[in-house]
Amino acid sequence: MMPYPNYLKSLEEAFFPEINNKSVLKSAVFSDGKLSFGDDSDSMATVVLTDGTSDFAIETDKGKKTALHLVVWSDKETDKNISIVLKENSRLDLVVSLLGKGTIRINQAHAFEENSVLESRIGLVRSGKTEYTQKYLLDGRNASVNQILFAVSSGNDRTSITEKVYHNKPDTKSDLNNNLVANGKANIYLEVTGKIEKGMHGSECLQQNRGILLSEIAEIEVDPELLIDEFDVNARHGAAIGQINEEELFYLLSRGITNEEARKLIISGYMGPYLEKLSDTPFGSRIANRIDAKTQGADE
Amino acid sequence: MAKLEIKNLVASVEGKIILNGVDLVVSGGMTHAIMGPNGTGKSTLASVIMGHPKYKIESGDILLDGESILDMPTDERSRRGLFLAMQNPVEVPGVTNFDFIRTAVSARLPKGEHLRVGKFIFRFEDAAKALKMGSGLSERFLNQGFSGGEKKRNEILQMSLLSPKIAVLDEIDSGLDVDALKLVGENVTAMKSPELGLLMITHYQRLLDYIVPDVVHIMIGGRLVKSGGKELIARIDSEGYDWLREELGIDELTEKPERYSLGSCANNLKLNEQVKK
Repeated sequence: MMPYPNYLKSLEEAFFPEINNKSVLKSAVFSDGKLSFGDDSDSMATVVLTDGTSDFAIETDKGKKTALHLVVWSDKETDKNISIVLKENSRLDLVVSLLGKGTIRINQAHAFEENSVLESRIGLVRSGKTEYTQKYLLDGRNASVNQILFAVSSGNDRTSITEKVYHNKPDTKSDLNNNLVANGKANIYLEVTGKIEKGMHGSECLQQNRGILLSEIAEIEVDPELLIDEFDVNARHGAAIGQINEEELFYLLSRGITNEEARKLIISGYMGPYLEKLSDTPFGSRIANRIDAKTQGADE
Repeated sequence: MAKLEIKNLVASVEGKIILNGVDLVVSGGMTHAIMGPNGTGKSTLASVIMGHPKYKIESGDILLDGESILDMPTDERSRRGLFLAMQNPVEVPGVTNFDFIRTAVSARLPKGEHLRVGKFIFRFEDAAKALKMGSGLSERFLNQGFSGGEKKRNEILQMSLLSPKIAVLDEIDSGLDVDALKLVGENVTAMKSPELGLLMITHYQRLLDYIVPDVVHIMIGGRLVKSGGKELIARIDSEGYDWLREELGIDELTEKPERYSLGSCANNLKLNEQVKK
C-alpha cells in the first residue's frame, strides 16, 4: 500500500459521491480483503471500503504501533464484517468513519492479545439505516481499549449501535464513550454491555454516554449494562440524554458568544475527539461540513 | 468611565423573592465587596446581573452606562462589558479551552474583522503563564478535569483576555489554597484601572487582603443592609453578623430548606426575605 499522504491524495476525490469514481477503489485497495502494515510509524494509513469491497480483516504486528483510518462508504444495502486482531504488545490508533447513505449492517470484532492497546475514534455520519455492532474481546492480560464514538443522525435516519466488551483476562481495561446527536425525526438506539468474568481481578470497565436532542421529536435511547462477576474491579456507567444543557449554554453566553455560536460550540464538543483525528487529512473538512449539515437538519 | 447601576432590584425564582430591593452603583476604578451569610442572595445578584434565565425580575432596573440591560440577552451584556467569574464554572466536554476563549474574543470584534490567531496565541499563553496555569491548557477541554483552583484561575484568565468594564467575581476565593489565592489576587489587582469596576462576592476576609475593596456592603435577606469601609471586614471576621442583625433590628425566621436552588452558594438554605425596616 502506498504511504499516506500520497495514496490518500490520489484517491481523495473518490471518497465522496460528487465525483463518482469509486471503481478505482474497489480494485485498488484490496484484492483479498486483507492488509498488512509495514513500518512502525505514526503516519495514518487510510483504507476505504465501498459497496463492492469484501469483508475486511487485519492483524497488527507484535510490538508495533499502527495508525489506520478505516472509511466505510456505501450507498447501497451492504453487509460487512470487519475483524481486527491486536497482537501482543501492539498498539492500534484506529479511526473509523461510516459515510454514505442507505442501509448498512456492520459487524466489527476486535480480539486483544497481552498488553495490546486500541485507541479508537469512530464517526457515524451516514444517512439512512445503520446497524453497527462492535465486539471487544479482551483476551490478553493488560489489554485495553479506549473508544470515543460520535454519531449524528437527522431526517428519518435510524441508527442502531451495539457495543459489547468481554473482559476475559485480569487487568484488562475498557473505556467506552459514546456521544450521540439526533435531529429531525431521527432515532438513535445504543446498547452497550460490559462483562467482567470471575477471576478477572484488576479489570476496569467504564462506559459514558451522552446524547443531545436537537429537535422535539428526535429520539435517543441508551441501554447501558454492566455484568460483573468479580469483586476486585472498577466499573461504572452512565447516560445523560437531553436538550442542550442550559448551564453550559449560559456559561458560553456569559462570555459574549452568541446563542447560535454557543450551541454550535457545545455540539462541536460531541464530535471534537473524532474530528481532531481527521484534522490533518484532506477530507476532514468535508466530513465536518457533512456533520454541520446534519446538525442543521439535512436529510441526506 | 463604566458605570453599573442597580436600582431597587427585586428578583425571584419560582415565585420566591430572593433579591428584595437592591441598590448599588459600581463605577470604573472602584472595587466593591459584598459579604453576607449563606443564602442571602449574593450569588443570585451576580447571576441576575448577567441575565441568568432562571431568575425573574419583579421590579427595579439594572443599567450599564445609563442604559437598561434588563431586556438584553446574556451574550450582549457580556459584549457590552459585563463579566461574571462564576463560583462553579461548568465543564463543557469536547470544547477546548482555546477554542472557547478564541470564540469569545472573536465575538467582540467589529463585523468583518477577524481575530489574528497567531498573535492571540501569545496573549493566551502569557495570561496563562501569569496565572501559572501550566502547559497544555489550550488543548484541555473547558474546565473538564480541572481542580477547583484551576477552574477559578481559568475564570480570571478569561477575564484578563476579555477585558471587561465591570467584572463580578462570585466567590472566586472558594477552592483556592493560600498560594493560589495570592496569585489570583495579584492578577486581579494588576487589572485594576479607571476603566474597570469590580464587584466581589465573598464570605471571607482573606480574599480582600489581596484585592483591597474601596467599599464593603453587607447583604442580608436579599438587601444591602449596610455599607462602609474596610473596617467592616475586620468586624465581620471577628464577630460574624449577629451584631449587625441586632443593630439593624433584622429578624430572620428560619425555614426548612427548599428543594430548589437559590444561588449557587445557597443550595440548602433559604433565609426569610423579610427584613424589618
